[in-house]
Amino acid sequence: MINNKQKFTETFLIIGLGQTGLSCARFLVKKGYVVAVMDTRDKPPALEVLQAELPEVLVRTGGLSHDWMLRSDTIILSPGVDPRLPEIKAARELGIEIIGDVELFTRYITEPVIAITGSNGKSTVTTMIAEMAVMAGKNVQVGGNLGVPALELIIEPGPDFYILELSSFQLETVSSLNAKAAVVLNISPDHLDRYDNLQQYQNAKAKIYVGSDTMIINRDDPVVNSWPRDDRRQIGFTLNTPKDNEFGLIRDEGQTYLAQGQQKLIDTEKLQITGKHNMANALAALALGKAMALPMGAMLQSISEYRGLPHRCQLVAKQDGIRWINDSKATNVGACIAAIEGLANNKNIILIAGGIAKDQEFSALNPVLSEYVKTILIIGQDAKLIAESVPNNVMQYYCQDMASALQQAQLEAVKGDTVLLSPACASFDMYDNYIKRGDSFIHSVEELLT
Amino acid sequence: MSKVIQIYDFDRALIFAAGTLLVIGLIMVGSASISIADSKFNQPLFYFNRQLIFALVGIAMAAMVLTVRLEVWRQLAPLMLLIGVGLLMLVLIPGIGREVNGSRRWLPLGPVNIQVAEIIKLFSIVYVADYLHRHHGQLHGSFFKVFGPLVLLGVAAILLLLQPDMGSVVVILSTVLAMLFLGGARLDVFAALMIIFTGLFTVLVWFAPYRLQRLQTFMDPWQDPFGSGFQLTQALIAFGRGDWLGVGLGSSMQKLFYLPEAHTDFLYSILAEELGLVGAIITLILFSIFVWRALAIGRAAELAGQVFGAQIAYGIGVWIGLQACVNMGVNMGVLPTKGLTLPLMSYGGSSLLLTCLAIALLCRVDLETRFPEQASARVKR
Repeated sequence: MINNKQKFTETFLIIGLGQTGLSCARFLVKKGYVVAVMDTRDKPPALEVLQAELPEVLVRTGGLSHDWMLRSDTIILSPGVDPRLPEIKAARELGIEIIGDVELFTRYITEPVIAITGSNGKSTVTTMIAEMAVMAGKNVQVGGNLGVPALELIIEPGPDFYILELSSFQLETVSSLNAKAAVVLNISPDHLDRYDNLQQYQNAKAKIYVGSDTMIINRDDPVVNSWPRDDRRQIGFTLNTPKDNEFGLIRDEGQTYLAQGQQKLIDTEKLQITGKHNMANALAALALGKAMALPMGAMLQSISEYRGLPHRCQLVAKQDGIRWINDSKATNVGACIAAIEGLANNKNIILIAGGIAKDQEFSALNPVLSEYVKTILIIGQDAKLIAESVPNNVMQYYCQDMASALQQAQLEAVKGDTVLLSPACASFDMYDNYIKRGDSFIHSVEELLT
Repeated sequence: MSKVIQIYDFDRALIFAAGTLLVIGLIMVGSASISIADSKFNQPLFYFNRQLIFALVGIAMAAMVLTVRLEVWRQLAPLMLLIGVGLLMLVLIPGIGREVNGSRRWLPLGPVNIQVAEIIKLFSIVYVADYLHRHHGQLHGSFFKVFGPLVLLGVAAILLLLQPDMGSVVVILSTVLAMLFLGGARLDVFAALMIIFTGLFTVLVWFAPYRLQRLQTFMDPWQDPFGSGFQLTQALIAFGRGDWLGVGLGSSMQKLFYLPEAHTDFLYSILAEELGLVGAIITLILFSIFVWRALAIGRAAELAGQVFGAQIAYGIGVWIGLQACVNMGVNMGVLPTKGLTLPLMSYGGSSLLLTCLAIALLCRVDLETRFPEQASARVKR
């Protein structure tokens, strides 16, 4: 797979100057290639750093130059750039190779890669498997969509594993990943403003399985479960009783256990994480760990100590019998549903949701809201779209900002309730990103409860 | 496509309280006025029938108001108060305004008389709500900014005092003060206004001997039980006769002669006599629910960033609450006599109609808060 390297001899054009674009420029300049960078924005975020650090790189901002594209041998597309742009389509038709930073990364490194994608839970599984590997004494580099761009992970000498969280955007431009183990955790409609239809999104996700090694398959997801091929090694996981030697849950005398085949591994009560979605994440991590041949003891110890990610169903406060939970990272409907189902106990959820809808269909929320949610507090730009899917047995309010929503939540909440921020939407109408949104929630809760 | 709003989407506690009060009010108006209507018009149900029609007209008009976006009212607010002030001037012109018992309060309009003060109450609330909306966040700044809206209201207050109708002035100014306070006026400005108003009322009481007399009567009605203390002592007797469970619907003695016009300002006494302390307390609880829901709706609207709607809800809550308290207080002899009706219950078309409209506005505020139509325009970064 590395023999493609000879191609890297001439000019590279990087489109999109964010953290990923910057990592590509740094990598290629270090390797001695000619590099140019373009961005449609007038002031891309990494412009200043690039010009200070690599003054020799040609930069063009405020639009795409057809001329530059024709003169380059390879175009490297940042995940934020839509490959459906007419200029990029034209370049592809002229035979110019278009790849992404992850493709560049896989062509260069020789160590095994563990690849994780999915609509929801990928960051959680990525950190879980990384911690398992560390617990097992392995040397790993972790990054990708989560934090550090893939190319900046490269170290000499190489680690035992590179663990990559990949978004569907990154996977679009990947062709020779060949991961040691790869998983699509689940597929629910997301980013439909970027894809023409759900099929395209699924196709992008499926590219993570390109290669010849182990496929980790979610048996409960009908789409993912239709992909495995007989000539590949596969390990499945399910929230039901597992078949053969796969991973799943065994329920026995009121207790639920993570299990492999017939063998109970650990009582779920002993875990720090809760919710069905987190059980699925843990099982996926175990399956990945098995593919990496990690010892079971280390994996179980690691998983019992795992406390979850910030902004992912994170308990912010518990006072007067009311739980305040930050799930700001739930930027799509699937994640929101998973959080509600994982946390609900009868109809005790006071949900704060809303933001930018990204063309999602909110009707999927309807049954979950009806069953588990007492009151929904809607915030943000696309409030109206959400309001239309709220069933009649759920009290709904519109609130102008996070602090207001939390004040209304406090008025509504009684002992035993859970106030949950799980927006099902992007945050850009009110915040820079979901982290800022979650911080705002935490800050407001702290102010409210003191 | 937006969701169709159904009847159960309304604030149920509010509708329940208002509806029950309206029904109890109708029954009591019928019961309290039976003998006076019989002797005056030879029709025992004269007042009841008229009140029933007012209630139906009120509900129909409320249904219409419910379909109008609050923004429309907001833009009409200054004009509405101007028209109200114009009507107040008309009332005072001899030959146009009708004089009853020494006060010019009514504008004759075909078969009905309009009590302009009732209109002014609701219009003032809408006006101040619009004012607070436009100056949101700046009301802390200047002394004059707080006084600004009060000029037109001051004119209205003076015209009301000329009728004279001090009770309505007290209600309007107190409601406005409460709205300014909730709208974030500076405390020193607020204190200054309080002092001015208190001084003004002291002066008014000083210069109008009958007001002083009322005040003295209120302090001890039994001093002159057959003169100025007559109404009040008879009201208290009604409460006493009512005991725990009342003498029974229709069995009031006081309404026969001792409490004239009992179906208007002294309805609560008759209610206490016929339905007892239990009936009186239930009424009080229903009014409390009404005020609680109005304030809760206001709070939710405020959290949704709708200043105008929030202030309307607060204003209506304070208005109805205050007027109910004053009326019940007068009936129980803990407040000096004021010509104020018991909202939703006392006989009087203008009062009933305007209260129905106020409830429609409350529902509209509630719906606009909970079912965002144009949230995107209101998003705050």
